[in-house]
Amino acid sequence: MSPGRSSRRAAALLALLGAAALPGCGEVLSEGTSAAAGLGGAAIANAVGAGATVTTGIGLGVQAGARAGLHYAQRRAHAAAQASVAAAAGPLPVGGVASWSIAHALPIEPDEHGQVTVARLIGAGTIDCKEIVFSVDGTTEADSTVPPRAFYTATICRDGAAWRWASAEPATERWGSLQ
Amino acid sequence: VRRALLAALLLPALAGCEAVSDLTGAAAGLAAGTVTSNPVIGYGIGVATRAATQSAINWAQRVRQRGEQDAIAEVIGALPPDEPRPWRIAHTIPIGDSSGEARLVREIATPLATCREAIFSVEEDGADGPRQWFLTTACRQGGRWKWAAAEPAVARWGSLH
Repeated sequence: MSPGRSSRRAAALLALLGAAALPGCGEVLSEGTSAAAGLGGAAIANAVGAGATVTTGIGLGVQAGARAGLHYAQRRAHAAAQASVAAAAGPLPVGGVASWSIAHALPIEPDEHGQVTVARLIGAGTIDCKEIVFSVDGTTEADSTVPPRAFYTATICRDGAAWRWASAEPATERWGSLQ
Repeated sequence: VRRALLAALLLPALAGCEAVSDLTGAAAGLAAGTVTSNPVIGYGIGVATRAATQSAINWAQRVRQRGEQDAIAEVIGALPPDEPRPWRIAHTIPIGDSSGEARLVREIATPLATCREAIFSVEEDGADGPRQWFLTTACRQGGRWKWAAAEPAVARWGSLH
């Protein structure tokens, strides 16, 4: 790898991280990642001497791959946040309160913290589950519609020694704006 | 100007809005291409517009959805036990207005917050569809009630993206 290419890659990574640090910029991150991938794809096509139509095809293919990669990174970051809440709530009795926090290695999602409590136990045969209420305190997002302390409910179930998030997705009729 | 604004506001009501932002981005890219005659710059402007448009559409959809959630959560907060109460949402743009009724399932009292589990029905105005029932939770935050159902487990939201 030439030094020029590695510095360009470092610059692209920096730009990606810069975009990620902006609050509420999932779309910019998403489009930016795809765009960078598209331009990279065009460079590949130029290197192999392909025509414009082929270049477009390569660009679209690389874009789709980059978008899938970003979604994968976002899911990983969010899974870590859910695991943090579930791990804090797992050992709690009904009515017990514990703190949870998450600091992401990649600033794709905001760092968050709050408290969690167990509302009730849900048992089904040999499967242990808990209904939890957790707070997200002092969200850093400059969005006035987010209250300083927001409460949410979820369910967690035990998987061996670990507790995992168990809330299922909303009914398809209800998730219109999630996509 | 007002017509353009109305058109922009109506976009979120269309199903499959991904395509809308694609079209807007492509249109902007074409327009930029004619100005600069440089395809790379045109492409860059198109992508930036696409990101901004996607962001605006997502934001508008979230505002609409939040309006409906707030309307339902407000009714859930005021529900007496064993008595259904009606709810309705009238959007600023009168598309997709809906209404229904809510019933209290149980109160969730915890040291952190007071929450409620409730079932609610949704009927879109002017639609003759069957009445559908959903289950959700709401918690009191400050002086008001807000929707509290958290996101699904990451392993289950694969197709939400």
